[in-house]
Amino acid sequence: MATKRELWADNQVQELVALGDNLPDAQLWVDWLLTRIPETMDPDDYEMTVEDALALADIQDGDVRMSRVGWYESDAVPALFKRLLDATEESHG
Amino acid sequence: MDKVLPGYVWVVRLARYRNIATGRFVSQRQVLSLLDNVVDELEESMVRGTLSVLEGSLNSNVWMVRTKDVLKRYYLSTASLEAGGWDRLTQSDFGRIGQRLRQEYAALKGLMEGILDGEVSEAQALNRLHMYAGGARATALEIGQLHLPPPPRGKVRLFRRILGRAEHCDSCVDYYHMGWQPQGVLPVPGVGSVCLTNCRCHMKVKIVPEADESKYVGSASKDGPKMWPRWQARKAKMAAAKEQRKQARASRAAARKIEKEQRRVARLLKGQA
Repeated sequence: MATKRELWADNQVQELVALGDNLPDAQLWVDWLLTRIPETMDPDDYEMTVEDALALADIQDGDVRMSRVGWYESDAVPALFKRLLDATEESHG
Repeated sequence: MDKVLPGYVWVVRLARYRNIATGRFVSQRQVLSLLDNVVDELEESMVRGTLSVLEGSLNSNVWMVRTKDVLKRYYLSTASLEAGGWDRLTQSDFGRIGQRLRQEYAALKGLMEGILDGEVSEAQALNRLHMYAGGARATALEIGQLHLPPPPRGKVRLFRRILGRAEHCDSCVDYYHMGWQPQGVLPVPGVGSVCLTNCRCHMKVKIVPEADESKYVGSASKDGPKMWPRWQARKAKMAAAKEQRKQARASRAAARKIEKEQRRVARLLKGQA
C-alpha cells in the first residue's frame, strides 16, 4: 500500500514527465526534495528554506556529465552539432 | 559513427570550431544561432514548468528544484559552446558559473514566493524567466571572451556590438554607435545595459594590424559611419567601373549619331546627283 508521500511523489514525477522531462531526471528532483521534507510533514505544506534554495549551485563533475547528456538530447541542437562540444584542441591549426 | 555525427576540433589560434571530416570551419553565425536556439529552449522549458505551477499541477518546490537544475545544465553547455568545448572549461569558469547560479537561485526563490503570494503576474513571471535564460547567454559570452587567445604579434582584436532580434535599449544603441572598439571597452551583451539580461545583441570580432587600429576604432559612429578600407576600396572600384560604362555608352551613342548623319548626307548627295 503506497503512502500519501509516495503517491504525492509519483504524481509529481508524472507531471514532470508530462512537461517533457525525462524520467530519471524527474525522479532525481522529486527524491532530492523528499530528503529535505520531514517524514511527518505533508509535502504540499513544506516551505523551502533559503539554504535548500541556494544548495547545489557549485559545479561538480556530475553536473558537467548531466549537461553533456542534455546537449546530446536537446532538440535545439541539430545532429550535425551533437559532438561539437566534444571538440579537442588543435593548437597548431 | 563519424559519418553520422561529425567530430570537431577547436582551433585555439583562431578560436573556431573545425569539422574534422570536411575540414570546414563552423562560422561565428552558426555558433551564435546555436547559442540562441539553446537559450530559447531553456526559456521554453522554464516557462512550461512555471505555467504548470500557476495551473496548480506542479508543486512549487519541485518546480524550484527542476528549474535550478535545468538552469545549471544550460549555463554549463552554453559556456562550453563559447569556450571551445567541455574540456576547455576551467575551475575559474565553474566558479564564475556557480556564483551566477547562486544569484539566480535566490532570484528564483523570490519569484516562487511572489507567484505563491499572488504578487507576481503570469506576464511578470514569464519576463523574469526570459531574463534568467538571458543570464546563461551573457555568462557564456563573457566566458567565451575570457578564452580568446592573445592576438598575433603586431595585431589587435577589435569588437563591435551588433543589435539583436529584440527591442533595443539606449545603452545597446550607444554601444552599437561606438563601432569597433579594442577588447575590454564594450561589455558583452547582457552586461552593463539598461535591458540587463533581456539583451539579445551579439558581438562581431575582427583582428587587424596594430598600425591600422585607428582606422577602425569608432567606425559606424553617431557622426556618420566611417567605412572600413576594404569596403571603401570596393566602393571606389564599383564607382570607377560605373563611370567607365557611362563613358562607353556615351561614346557609342556619339558614334551612332555621326554614322546616321553621314548616311543622311550620303542620301542627300545621291538625290542631287
